[in-house]
Parts: sequence; structure tokens; C-alpha cells
Amino acid sequence: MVCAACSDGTLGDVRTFDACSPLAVTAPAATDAQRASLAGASAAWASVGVTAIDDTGSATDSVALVFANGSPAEYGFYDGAASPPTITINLDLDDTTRAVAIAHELGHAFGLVHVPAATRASVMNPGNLVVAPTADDAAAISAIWGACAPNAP
Amino acid sequence: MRLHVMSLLALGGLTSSGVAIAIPDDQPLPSPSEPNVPPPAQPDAPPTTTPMTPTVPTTPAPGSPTTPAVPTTPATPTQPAVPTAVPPTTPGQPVDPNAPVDPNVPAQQPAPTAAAATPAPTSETIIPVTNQYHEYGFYQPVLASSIGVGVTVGGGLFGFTDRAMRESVASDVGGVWDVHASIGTHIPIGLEVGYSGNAANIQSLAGTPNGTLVGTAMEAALRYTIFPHSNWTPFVFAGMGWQRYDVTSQRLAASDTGLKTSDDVADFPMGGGLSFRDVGGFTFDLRGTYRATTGSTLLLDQRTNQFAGLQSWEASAALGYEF
Repeated sequence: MVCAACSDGTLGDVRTFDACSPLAVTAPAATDAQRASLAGASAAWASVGVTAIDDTGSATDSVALVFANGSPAEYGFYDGAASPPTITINLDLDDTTRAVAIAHELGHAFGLVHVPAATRASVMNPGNLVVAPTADDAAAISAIWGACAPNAP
Repeated sequence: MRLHVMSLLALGGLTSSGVAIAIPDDQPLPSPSEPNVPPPAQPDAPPTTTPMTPTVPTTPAPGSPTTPAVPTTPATPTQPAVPTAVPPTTPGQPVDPNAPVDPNVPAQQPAPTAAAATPAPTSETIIPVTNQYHEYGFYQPVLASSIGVGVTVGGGLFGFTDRAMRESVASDVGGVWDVHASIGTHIPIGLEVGYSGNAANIQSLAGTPNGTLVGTAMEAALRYTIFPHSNWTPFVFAGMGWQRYDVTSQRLAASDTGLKTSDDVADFPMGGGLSFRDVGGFTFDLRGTYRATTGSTLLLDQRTNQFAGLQSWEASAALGYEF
């Protein structure tokens, strides 16, 4: 179950995914613009070495991506307790901020927690709609899952 | 000089307070059983004699008539209460103001009235003040504090006026509770300090509440009571204070949100209401409040890239007690 407050900064008891294994992101109801934002988020992670996001259909693990109306202050949410685990993104976001929000929620799916903006610039900064994944974010993922094998995705 | 205390009821019933009246020494003391009218002269009246009757009855001789035990006094002719010098007038006949005045006849004095019988206050008149509350405009003698000091506890509804904040909570209306302490509820301008708290569920993208937004305010305000002495009175108030918002129980770790976990702002409450004050001290208030705030950084609206304002409205009712 998802922790109630996660005041310790952890994600709580939710499902996360090994960044060295292929992960499919399914968004059957997404528009072209929303699919483009998903592609942008995948490319941003790949640019720092995290290449788990797979759209070839070979992945056995998957995360659902949906878009919904909501509070203007709520940009995205990763529900690792749902089945399948679901990423929800605010419909009101524009193309640029939507891609950053998807990248942020994928970071949660890989097990990352928030990084205070005062600590460093990170895609995992709370309320981030600007910062793309960085090398430090990739290093944080490696710290969780270990270094991926050369033939890993 | 002699001082005499007489009831004002005898002087016209102006008040139940006793009044001490100074009377010069050269003026005869009025008898409480006689009107203040000199006895009429009786030049031709025969001397009144009272038969000497023994107070102890003697034993009558057998066959003698019984002597009455109570002495009998010849009846004294009844004297008129009005001086004889007053020219007689026929009842109902108007008095001619141009009629010649007989210098040998004393001028007719107006009939004594209660007001005329009351001597005009002079420097020699001492009037103890015992019940003069009504002469003070801003004084409530029923209350121990005289001006009204009270405490109320209540609750009601509140909502944000900023669109982004309204859309960030699950409902446009949340709950509010407050405690107020007031000084001067029975004078026009009083001081009011209060604590106010409110809570609203935070709207999530998934359609289910995600945490609670809890507000806390400590405020002081000047309160203008329009009818200070009435049981029912409208009032208005304005002031300033400090307000803090905290986000609790939100799954922040798994969400990307522009909502901070807390924020502090200065707020400026203003509004009005209607107050009922029971004579026993119980009070009931209805009030509406608008709270203006300084700039907040609690919530960043991603549509405008501007921070949302925390201005809010409140409608509440409160019960209390004043003394």
C-alpha cells in the first residue's frame, strides 16, 4: 500500500521497476501530442543512460499512463499500488511541461524520491516542470538498481 | 443648619434614591403630619374645654348611671386646607388676567405640586448618586466588566476566492472553527482577538482526496458595535493577523505538485455580523469574514506560472458568554 504521508521521504510500500529491465508505458487513450510528450520523456532519460523505457512490445513489465483533469497545482502522480501501476498527468499541462512531468513520474517508477531544489537541480525536484533528467539522477538510479549490464536496455 | 432626609417618592417620585435637603435654621421645621400651611386664625372661636374625666373608672354606686370610660372631646370645627386669603373662584369660571388686584388680598399661589414642592438643587443640596447609569452612554451596569468582555466559540464554512486555490481543494467549501475574545462589546469600539482554523481536502488528479490543507490564523481586530446597549446589534470589524497553511497526509513522495508543504502569510480580516446578547450573559454571533492576504508561495499555478492567492471568505456562527 501507498504510505499515507511518506514523511520520511520514501515512496513507501509501492511497486517500483528495475531500470535495467525493459519497461513498457502504455497509453492507449493518449493523443498524438501526449504520445509525443511520452517520447520526449523517454528520450530525456535515455540521454543520461537510462534506457529501460521500451516501446517495442518486448517488455514484460508495464506502467499505464493516463491524463486527467485536476488541481492546477497537481502536475502528475505515480500510483505504484494500483494494478497495473499508473502514472496520471494533468491534462492542462502544455507539451513542454507535460514531458518533464512524465519524466518525473517515471523517476518515481524507478524508485527515485524527491530531491529538494536547494540540494541540486533534478528532475525529481518537487513541483518540477522545467528540469530534465540529469546525470546525477541517473547515478541515483544506479545506486538503487546497480549498474546495468552492457547488453541491458 | 439641619439636614433632613425624605423620600423622593414624597417629592414627586423622580427616583427612589434618598435626598438630603438643607433647610436654613430660620425656617420652621415642617411637621410630617401637617401640611406646610399656617393654621388659620380663629378669633371668635370659644376656648376649647375638655371635661376632666377620671381615667380610672370608679366603681359606680348601685343604680347610678354608668360613666363612659372614654372621655369625649367636643369636635373642633374643621378648618379649610386652603388659606382663606385666596379669593374664591367658581369652579369652571375663567380667571380674568386683567382684573384689578386687591392689594389687601395676598396673591393667589399656584396649587402646590410635587415639582414645586421639590427645592431646586442648590449648592446646599446634597444628592447622593446611586442609580445614574443611564446618564453614561457607554456603560452597561448589568455586566461586571461594565463594557462587555466576552468569549465565543463557533464554527462554519469557508472557501478560497482565488480560482487556483478553489480548484486545488476537493470542494469549494471547507470547514472552519474559531475562538474569539472580545473587550468592549457594549461600547462602540472594542478589541477582538481570535484564533481561527480551517481545513479542506486537497484535490488529486485521480479524483480522490490527497491530503488535507489546514489553515491556522491568529488575528486582532477593532470591532465597531453599532448598538452597544441593544440585545441585537450589528457590528463590523477589521484587523490584521498571521496565518499559516500546512499540507498534511498528502502522498507528496509520489506526486509532482506545485503545492508546498506549508506557507506563512499576513492576513487582514474584515467583515460584519449580527450579535445577540442575553441579559444573563450568553451571546450568539453570526458573522461573515473576508480575509485578504499578502503574497503567498503555497501553490504555483502551472497555467499562469503565478502563485495563487490565499484570500478566503468565512461564514460562521458562535456561542459565547460575556461579563
